[in-house]
Amino acid sequence: MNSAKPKRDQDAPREILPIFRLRSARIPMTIRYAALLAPLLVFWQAYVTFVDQTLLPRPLEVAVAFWDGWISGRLASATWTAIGVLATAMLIGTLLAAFLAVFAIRTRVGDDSLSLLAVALGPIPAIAVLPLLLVFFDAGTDALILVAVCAVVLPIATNLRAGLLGVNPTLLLAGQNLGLRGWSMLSQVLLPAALPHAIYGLRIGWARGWRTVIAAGLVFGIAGSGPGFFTDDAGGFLPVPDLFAGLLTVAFAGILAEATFGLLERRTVVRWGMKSGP
Amino acid sequence: MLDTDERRGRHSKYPLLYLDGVSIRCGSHDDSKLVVEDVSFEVWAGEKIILLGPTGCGKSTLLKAIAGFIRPDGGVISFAGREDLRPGPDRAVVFQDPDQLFPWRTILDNVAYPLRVTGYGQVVSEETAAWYLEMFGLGPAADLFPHQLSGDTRQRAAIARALALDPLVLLMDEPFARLDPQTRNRLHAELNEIVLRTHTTLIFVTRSLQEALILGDRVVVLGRAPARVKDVVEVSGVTDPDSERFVWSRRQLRKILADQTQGERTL
Repeated sequence: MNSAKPKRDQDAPREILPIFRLRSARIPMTIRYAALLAPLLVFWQAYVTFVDQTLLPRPLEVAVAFWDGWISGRLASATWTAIGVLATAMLIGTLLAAFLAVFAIRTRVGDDSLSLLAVALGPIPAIAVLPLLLVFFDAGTDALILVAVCAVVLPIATNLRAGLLGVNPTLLLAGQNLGLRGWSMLSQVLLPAALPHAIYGLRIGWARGWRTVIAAGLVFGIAGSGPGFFTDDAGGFLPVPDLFAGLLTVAFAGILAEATFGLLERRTVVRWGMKSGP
Repeated sequence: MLDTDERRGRHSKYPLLYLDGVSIRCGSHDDSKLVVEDVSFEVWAGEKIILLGPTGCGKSTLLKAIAGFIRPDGGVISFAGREDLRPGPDRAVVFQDPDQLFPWRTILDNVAYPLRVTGYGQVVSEETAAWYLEMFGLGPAADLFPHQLSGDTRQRAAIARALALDPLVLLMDEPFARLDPQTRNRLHAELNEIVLRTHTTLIFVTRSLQEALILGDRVVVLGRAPARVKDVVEVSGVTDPDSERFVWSRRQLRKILADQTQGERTL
C-alpha cells in the first residue's frame, strides 16, 4: 500500500504569515507588560514627588494599602465573595443561555424571542435592573446573583446562537450519517463545533458580569453586604490608598480571568485549529 | 453480517439498491426546482457504480437521497429491502469537503468514535481504527488533529472512517475534486486496491470522465439539470488510461454527455 507520510498542511491558518508581524513576540508576556507599566509608575512617583502631593497617594502608600488589605483578609474576602457570586451567576446564566440558544435555532418563536431580548434588553446595563430587584429581594447575595445573571445571559446566548448557526453543514451531515440525532447530535457535534463562539460569549459574559458585580458591590458594600472592595470602615471617610488598592484588586481579577479564558482557548479551540492562536 | 460472497452479490437474486422513477425537488414549496427527474437504476452488491454528470446536475442531491439525508418527492429508493431510509452508517458517506472530520478529535478518534457510536467497545473501536489508518498509511498521523494535516491526508482519513464502519455501500461525493491531479491519481489507485480487498460496494459521484473510467464498473450518465439517466455504460476493467479501450470508452462517455437529447434508456 502507498506509504505516503501524512504531511503538515502548509495552508493551515496558523502557518500564514501575519500582516503585521509582532517582533516582540519572543519576549515573555509578563516582561512586556511590566515594561509598559514601569514608565507609568515612574511618572506617577515623579508627579506626587515634584508636582502635587494632595490629590494622589504615593505608589508606595497604595502598595501598603494593597498589602494590608490582603493581610487583613478584607480584599481577599471581597474577591472571593465577588468571584463566588459571579461563578454562580455564570452557571445559571450559561444554562439559561444554552436553553435560549438551542430553542432559538430549533424554533421560529425561540429565534424571535432571543432577537427581541437582545434588541430590547441589550441597551439596558444590568446594574440598572438592581433598584427594581431590590423591590422584590433584600439587599444580599440573591439580588447580587440575579443582577449578575441579567448581565451574563445575553452575551452568552447570542454568541452561542451565532456559533450553532455557523456550524459547517458537512459536519452535521457527517453526524447524521452516524445516526446521531437530538441530544447526541447536540452534545457530540453542534456544541463542540460552536465552541469558539461559546467561549467568546463566556468571555464577554464574564467581563460584563464582573463589572456588574463590582458596581453592585459598590452599592451594597457601603450598606455592609456584598464584596467590600470599597468598604468604608472609617465611617464617612474613604481612605484614598484603600480605594486604589480595591481598584487594583478588581483589575487583577479581570486579568486573571482573561488569562484563564486564554488558557482554555489554547487547550481547546486553538489546539484543534478552530481558532487561530495568539 | 453477510459473508464475503454475499457482499459481492455473486449469489444474490436482488439488487442491494434500486431507484425507481426517483424525482427530487429543491427549495421552498413556492419556489421549488426539479433537480432530479425520473431516475431509475440498480446497484448490485460488490459493484462500483459511478454517477457521472456535469456540474450542478443534481447528482450530489441524488447521493444525499440514497444516504437518507433528503427524501425523494417521487419514486422509490429501496436499499437492502427497506424503502423508508433514514441516514445510517450502513451507507457511510465521504464528502467533498475535507473539513468533514471532527476538528476536536484526533485522526484516530475520528475513525474510532463512529465505531463507538455504532456500538463497539472502546478497545475494539481503537484497534479497528488503528488497523484502517495503517491501511491508508496514516499510522503516523493517528494522534494529530485534522487541521495539522493536508487536504488529501484528511480525505484519506475520511475514507478510512467510512470504511471502518464496514458499510453495505460506500457513498462518495466527489471526494477528490479539491486535490491536485498527482495526488488524485495516487488516491484512485489506493481506493481501487482497498475496495478490491474489502469487497465494498461503491457509489461514486464525479464529473470527471477519467475518474469514472478508472474507478467504475458501470457508469450512470446523468444529463443536465434536472438530472435524468442518459445512459448506463459498462466500463468494468477499464483502468489503464493508455489502453485503447480506455480511450474508446472515454470517447463514448463524452459523446453521451454531449448529446443534448435526453436519453430515455434506463436499465
